Amino acid sequence: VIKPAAHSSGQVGLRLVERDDRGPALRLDDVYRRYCRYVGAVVLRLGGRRIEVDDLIQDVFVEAARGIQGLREPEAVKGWLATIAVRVVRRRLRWRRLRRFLGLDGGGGQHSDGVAAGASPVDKLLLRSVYRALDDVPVADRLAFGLHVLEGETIEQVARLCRCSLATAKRRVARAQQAIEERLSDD
Amino acid sequence: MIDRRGLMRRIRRAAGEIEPGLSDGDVEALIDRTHQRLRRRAVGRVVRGAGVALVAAAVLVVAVRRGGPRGDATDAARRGGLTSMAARAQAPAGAAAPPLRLADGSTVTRLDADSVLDVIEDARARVALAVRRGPVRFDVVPRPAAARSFTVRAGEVTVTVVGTAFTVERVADRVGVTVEHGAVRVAWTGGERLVGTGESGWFPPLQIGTASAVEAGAPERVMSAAPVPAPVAALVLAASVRVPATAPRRPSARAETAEELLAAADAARVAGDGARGAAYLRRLLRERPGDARAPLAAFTLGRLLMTELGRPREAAAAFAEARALQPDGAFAEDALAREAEAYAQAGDPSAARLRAQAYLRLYPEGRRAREMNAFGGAE
Repeated sequence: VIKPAAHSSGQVGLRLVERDDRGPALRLDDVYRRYCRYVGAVVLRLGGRRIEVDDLIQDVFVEAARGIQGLREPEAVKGWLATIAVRVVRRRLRWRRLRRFLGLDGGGGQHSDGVAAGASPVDKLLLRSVYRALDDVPVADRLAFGLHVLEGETIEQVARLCRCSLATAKRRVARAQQAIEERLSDD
Repeated sequence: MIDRRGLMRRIRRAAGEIEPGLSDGDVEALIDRTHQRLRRRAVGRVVRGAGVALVAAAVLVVAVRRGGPRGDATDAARRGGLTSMAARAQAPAGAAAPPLRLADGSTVTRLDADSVLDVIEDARARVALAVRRGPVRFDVVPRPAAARSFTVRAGEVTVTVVGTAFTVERVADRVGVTVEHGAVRVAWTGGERLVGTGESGWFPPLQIGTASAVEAGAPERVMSAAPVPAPVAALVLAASVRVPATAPRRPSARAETAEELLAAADAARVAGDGARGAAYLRRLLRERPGDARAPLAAFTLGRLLMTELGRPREAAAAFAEARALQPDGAFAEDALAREAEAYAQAGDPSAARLRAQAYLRLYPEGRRAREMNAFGGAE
């Protein structure tokens, strides 16, 4: 028997709600329920630490709350949230780097903590090594690699989300790939 | 020499397994917390100006009234604050909860929003803490043992510290200890072991298989003979997977916890023995169907049967069981998609189509929606 979930990401419809003074707008809670898991997956793949995910999701939706009044197209919500998520993760990665420079970053758990239950242990180890390597590459390169390889976005989309040219996006991905390959070869 | 494209393909496929595993309850809790933050921001904007003036006035009053030495006030606050400190430690704050600073200068950081820590005693000469759940990191200021005792209890395991940074994680009745630097003594009923810099382990040691060296408190060794495909074999070594020196040979007849059975299944899979891993998981499902980890075991079994053992029809049944055990759980969506995939692999397209259609009905915007369309779900 296939029983529907109480609510899951695919079940919450988005519709414009009429407001007295500001015209029709999307409801934040509807957007939250529909895209929370998507945003969670994006920030986890880019950031790599499960223990930071709850915070990052909240950061994304706090920022989203500011701009949601201006959104009129439900189809545009997903891409818009991805843009915010990239911005929020970029900020977090830079903060993490600063903390590490100051000797304050304790690691924050294992990099494979967010890997799905039941995943192959070998895949977990591979991802752990990849994220360790990514910890040492520039934030911009890491984000481009994360979006292209881990998140599966096209290079065009990576360039859009990272607000850079296509050539720059390609260069960043290639640099991060190179760093990972070197790291894995060393291992 | 690394096969570049193959490696990136493998990384991309592995990354598909990354997911935060948020339940509906987690999503609702996040929505609540976000609204609280938004409310605090709104209130903060209004009172910020007045707040600055009030703080300035308060600082002035304290400066005028404070007569005694600063230490008295701090100690009094600390003595009176023990209960509240414990309460703070147990409060379900976010993952980025600030570290607790103890009387001896050491700091304690909960690494997970669900971690629960009890501060039993917090004095300069004696610190006693108890980890009730989840991972907690301790950064302990070095002091001579005679000048201060620092102990962390987690279930029946006690960790005694001299001066070090380490993490204690409690999962059900298992306690993981990871030492970044320094050394700790880990004691449990019937044994103890010194864990040094860079070492880690789960305690009490697993009691499966034959009487093992680990059981007697001997150090664990790094797995080195795992028959895994290159280039990942190198990664296994690099990541220092620690498994018991005596790997379990077959499901033991002795009663084990669900956690131990899952760990044993994982160890068997790393060692390339998927059939033995499946036996552990089946045993968990047979003996502990009501355990909270049973859905995870069923899901893992499905993946194992499908990807490692090439038995897709049995895999489909395992995925169905995962959904049946927890229809609203975090695995339900993925299990349904994989069930469709398993039937397709088993050469049963009509069953695959039915599952794909069910998936698209339940999760029209789901992560696997595109694949489900390919199985005929769009009809």
